[in-house]
Amino acid sequence: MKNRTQSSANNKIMFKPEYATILIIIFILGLSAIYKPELFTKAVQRRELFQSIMLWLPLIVTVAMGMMMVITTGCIDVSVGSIVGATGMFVGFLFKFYNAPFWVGVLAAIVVGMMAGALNGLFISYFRVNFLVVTLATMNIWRGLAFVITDGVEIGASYMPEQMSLLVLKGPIPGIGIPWIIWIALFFVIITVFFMKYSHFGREVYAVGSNENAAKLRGINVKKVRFVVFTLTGMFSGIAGLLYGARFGFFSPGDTGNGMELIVIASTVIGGVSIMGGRGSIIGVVLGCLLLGMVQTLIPSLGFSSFYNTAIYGLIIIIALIIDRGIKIRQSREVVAKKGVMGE
Amino acid sequence: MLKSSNNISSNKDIGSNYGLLLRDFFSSLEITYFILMLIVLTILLITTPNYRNVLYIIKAISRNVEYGLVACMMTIIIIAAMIDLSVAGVMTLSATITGLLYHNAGIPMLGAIVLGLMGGLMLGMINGALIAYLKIPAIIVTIGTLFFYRGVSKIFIGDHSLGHFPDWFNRVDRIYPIKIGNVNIPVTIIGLLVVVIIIFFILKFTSTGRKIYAIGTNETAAKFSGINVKRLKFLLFSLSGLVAGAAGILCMSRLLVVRHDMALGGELDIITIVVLGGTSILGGKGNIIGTLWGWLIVVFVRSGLSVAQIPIEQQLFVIGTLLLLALAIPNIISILREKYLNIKIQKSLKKL
Repeated sequence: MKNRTQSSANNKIMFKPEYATILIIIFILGLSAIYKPELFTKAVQRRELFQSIMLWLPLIVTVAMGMMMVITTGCIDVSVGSIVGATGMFVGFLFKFYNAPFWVGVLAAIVVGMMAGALNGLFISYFRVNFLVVTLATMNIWRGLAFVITDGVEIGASYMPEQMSLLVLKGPIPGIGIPWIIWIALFFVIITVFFMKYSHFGREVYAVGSNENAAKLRGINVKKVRFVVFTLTGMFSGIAGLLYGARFGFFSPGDTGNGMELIVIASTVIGGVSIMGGRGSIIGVVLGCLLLGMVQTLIPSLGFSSFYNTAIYGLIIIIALIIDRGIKIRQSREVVAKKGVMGE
Repeated sequence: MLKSSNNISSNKDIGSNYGLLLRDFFSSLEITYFILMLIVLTILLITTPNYRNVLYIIKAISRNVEYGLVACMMTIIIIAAMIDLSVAGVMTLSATITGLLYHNAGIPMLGAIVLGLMGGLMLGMINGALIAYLKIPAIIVTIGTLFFYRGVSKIFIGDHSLGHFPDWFNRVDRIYPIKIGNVNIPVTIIGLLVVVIIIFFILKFTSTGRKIYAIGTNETAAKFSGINVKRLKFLLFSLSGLVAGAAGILCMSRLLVVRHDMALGGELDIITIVVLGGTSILGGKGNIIGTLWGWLIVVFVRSGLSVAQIPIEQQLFVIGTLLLLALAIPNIISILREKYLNIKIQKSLKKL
């Protein structure tokens, strides 16, 4: 236990994954500025680029907050993309066939998302099924349900209440042009920061991730922690499902949230959340999302085909993992050098 | 958790008690899933008249040989307490390599196939190196490489499809070397059975096979008992890449074309197959014959739903539910049994 705290203290002074992410962001920006300077010199193009990054972010950041908690407890949730799709379709269904007002949609998104997450949590912590299999299964269950809800038909913007488009077009502060959707994501980020840093439960999440047995012996209800974390992730995904409709103006059973789990896992891993659990900062995750958002928007604006996206995401995940592993190996070597004991 | 509960039953003196042996036999997951397979088949036979035809069943089975092949390798990897989610990506990319080499580089088909297989092996080796030598967890590495491989294939062929392969290569699954009665058995099914038998012997009777179980049960213990864990892991993932590559090329031969979304989501079907075969996802426990039953369950469910005209996207719902329940129900039973045992122990302690 002592080694561990020691190494994390070293980590704080010597190297933070956030710094690497910031460096990579600057590097990519510089590279693209050299490749195509007019992206940054012309005001219109600069604003467009900034806008598309900013509007892409909220969806990913919202889900990534949940994913960060899940990965911190040592699990992975690959069902988030499908939960986004299914809740989106359900909300759209309510809008289209029942003319539901906006607040009903919000409520439905939160409740359905929470239920989906709770189902994951129930099977993982109380029925003791492996997290990967459960979330792989629910990933397909929710994707299948998204198709069942409307028989595979998309729901367009004309059926949605007016407030949905206002989420993207208008902001709470009249003078500044930052739309609601970004404020919402920011709100979740701040809440999660406080929740993870200062609440009792947040510290329990870290404890479970760094050593499950020790946490159990300390009297932490590990099962409950996992259950709550998965439920919260479901809730965030549900809200992201609603935001998807606001951002893109349609709900589609195949497209809504498709492949989102990959982007979210990538941004979490890039943000320095250790895949073994127990380590991770929210600011790092937000920076990871920013990095991926930049890659996503810069590829087409630099004139490359968007077919490159998937490969680049995969590559970024692999590189981030290797860097993460490198940090760990160096840490354990430092511990060995200082203490003269085996770190791992 | 599951493991500990099963240890309770296996620790008892099995040899002296035939009743217990019989009970263990019937409570083993493999037999449960064999019975499940029979149930699914019976339901299909009763509800859909089309299914009462051996030819149709054989056809349905031969359409899923690729997944069965990959599932065999996946069984071994899951027994060693790891997982390979990148198989569908490897399938696509090695088929893409083969197709591209044939079309763009002018290499004859046979050479292209060999190079495609080598490509699959290389992709598996990348996985293996990251997992075995850099010690990154297999789950996350293979999630990354899954998208990387499929993405590379997307870069190469975009949203086109590559076709027009030589005639001898197309529709390999329509070669029927054996005829039983009036039923022709495709060569692919025979090939799969051969692979299953080989893997059965490797797992059961060779030292490598026993080492795989040892790694799955307790990796640290395996390392201290002198097993070269790293090399074995590397070998397993390389082989998995090779087999997935072969499956991808088979799939290309069956579909006549290769596209970037070939076998999309195949990893779910493959893991479902392995898990329905009674292999424990926690490692150390499993059997290749069980995988055969799991494969047949998935084949029957999929083809049955297709016959019932349920769209392929909505089938995802059924497959997912099946996987979830198949895993949860034995666990719930064992949890209940543990509770029952606890109550029993407490009662007997009170008597003392």
